[in-house]
Amino acid sequence: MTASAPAVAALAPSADTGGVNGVALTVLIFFFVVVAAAGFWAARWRRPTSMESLEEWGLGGRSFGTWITWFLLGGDLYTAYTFVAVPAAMWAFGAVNGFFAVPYTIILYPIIFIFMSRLWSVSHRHGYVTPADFVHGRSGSRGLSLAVAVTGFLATMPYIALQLVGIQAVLEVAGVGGGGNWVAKDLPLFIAFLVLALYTYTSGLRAPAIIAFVKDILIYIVIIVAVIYLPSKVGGWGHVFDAAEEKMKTTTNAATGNPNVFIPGPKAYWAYATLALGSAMALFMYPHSVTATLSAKSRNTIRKNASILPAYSFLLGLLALLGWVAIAAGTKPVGLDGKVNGQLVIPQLFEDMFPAWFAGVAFAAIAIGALVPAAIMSIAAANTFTRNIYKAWIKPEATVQQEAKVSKITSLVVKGFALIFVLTLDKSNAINFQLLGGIWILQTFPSLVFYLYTRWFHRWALLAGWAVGMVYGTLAAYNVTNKATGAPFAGSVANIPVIGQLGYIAVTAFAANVIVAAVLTLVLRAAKAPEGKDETIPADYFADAGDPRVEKLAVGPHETTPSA
Amino acid sequence: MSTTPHRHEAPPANKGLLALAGVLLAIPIVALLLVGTYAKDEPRLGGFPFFIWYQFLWVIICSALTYSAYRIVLKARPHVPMNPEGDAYLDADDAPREDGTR
Repeated sequence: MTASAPAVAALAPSADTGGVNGVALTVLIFFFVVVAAAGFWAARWRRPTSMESLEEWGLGGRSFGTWITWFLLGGDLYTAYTFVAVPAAMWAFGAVNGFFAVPYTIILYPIIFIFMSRLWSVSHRHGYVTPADFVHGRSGSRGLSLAVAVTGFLATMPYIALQLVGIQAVLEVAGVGGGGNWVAKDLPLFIAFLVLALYTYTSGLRAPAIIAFVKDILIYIVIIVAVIYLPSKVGGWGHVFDAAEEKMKTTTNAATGNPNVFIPGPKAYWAYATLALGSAMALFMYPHSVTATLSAKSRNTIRKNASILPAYSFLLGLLALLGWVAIAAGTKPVGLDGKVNGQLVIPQLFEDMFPAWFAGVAFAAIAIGALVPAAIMSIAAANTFTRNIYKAWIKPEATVQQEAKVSKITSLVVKGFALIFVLTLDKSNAINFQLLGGIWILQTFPSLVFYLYTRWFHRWALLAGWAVGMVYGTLAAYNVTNKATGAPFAGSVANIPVIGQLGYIAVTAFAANVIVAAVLTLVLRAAKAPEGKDETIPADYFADAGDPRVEKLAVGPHETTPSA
Repeated sequence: MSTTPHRHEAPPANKGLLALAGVLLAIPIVALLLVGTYAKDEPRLGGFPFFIWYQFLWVIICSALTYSAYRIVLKARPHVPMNPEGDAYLDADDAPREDGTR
């Protein structure tokens, strides 16, 4: 690729930042076509007999050494969340809105270390593929299982929306689209949606594994070049932090009216800590995360990986700091409509600082790094719908063909809703999409994680707690209005009752959820409400590969680690 | 029911070692949630404010603690294979049991 780039550069003189960047766009399209074609080819090439070997490849199985496995695991972690949303939040609002992603991705691993092995074991003993499968088997309650499935389906939508915003940002900086009417204004978004939909149909459903190498190599090259080269070009890290401090101390967040933050003050401690904790507890409740975990080879794989994965938080932190590098570089992320849009800051920084061909490589890395997880998330959500809603409630006698058809249609529907999220909610703070999903998905934590340890909680009490958490969380998020525009759902941080500090709504709703579940459990126990039937036995939670009935689960497409 | 395992209960475990692993895992969570202990600019390290480099430092510490916990839990509760034969539980305890162990 690099060989042909100078030739392309010679044909198209370097474009100014406002218009179409011909070279970068060409490189972006080139990589995209290569990746899509590779995926498509993989789908054709794969025969049923070789499914196992490809699966092994995707899992970084036996044939790979530790280093390559490590490489593949990390590549999945960098999505539009890390590349676009977190640096944008750092650029616009500072540390509380952005840098909490670092403690989030550190404490994530001790948390999953604790309970994920149990979920792996019990799922492999009973053939559970989704969180709702397990909840149904353990509680004997179809209603609770439905609640978990619906929440997983709903919460994935804003997460996919965030990936769409990432692709849109790249296209917009590359110059696709233009002002004028609303269709032209949102053209990059519609293209992003179309590309994602096509991608899922052709290759995403079959073999994300085969493009993992291309994708991860692109992502690593861009990250490493960016975090080493860019800070030195703007005057070193010391200057970067001084510039960021200057900006953060002199500006306020127009949406919330709060001052921006260089280093959190006492009033922001709770917000910072709860954002990190809530996000970490929420990530492994998503259907796509559970899929990735269940695809592991053995019970302890996830624990071993948990001890090497935090290393990626280091690069994530440096990527977040690129938002502050952009402040020092004086990057002006102005969209095609002439308005400042923070989400464009990293693509714009790359376009300003790098030769056009490398900007194109960076754009490709961001776009593909958003596309693959978005496809996998939508498929995981669609599978949850098919298994736990369609088959469990609507048409139990559905054939395999009907199931596959419903899955395909649903994966489109999920993306359609994600598009609606992007169009209706405030895009200026895209990280909020992920936080909104977190508010909902965290309400399934008691049903999933508590049940891995104990059946003390009554199934009806858990359902009531879930309902309280969902309603409270949604209302509290709705009531966070953008002070500049008056739009609802403008943030995910609100006053915590009793404590009187600002905190992540997901954690407050979770606390309410648990309290309601515990109190109602005592009431229901006293009233001798009927228990559901538990189909698991204690030994199930410790089963490992090689034990009776423990077989490889057909979990569908997945990455080796859940995308953050 | 030829696939019913002999063993119904969790494999035996060294509770002390499990608790130790739990403590190791709790340390980074608690340390990073105490934001007040590290939300300051000075001392800087290579231009990086304390707030930034201290959290980077925890990336490494957390990795080390989690790996230690991994080695400990492997030792604390060695895997006991399930027996695929037989049609009754050895411990014959069918009642749902609250299992507070890891």
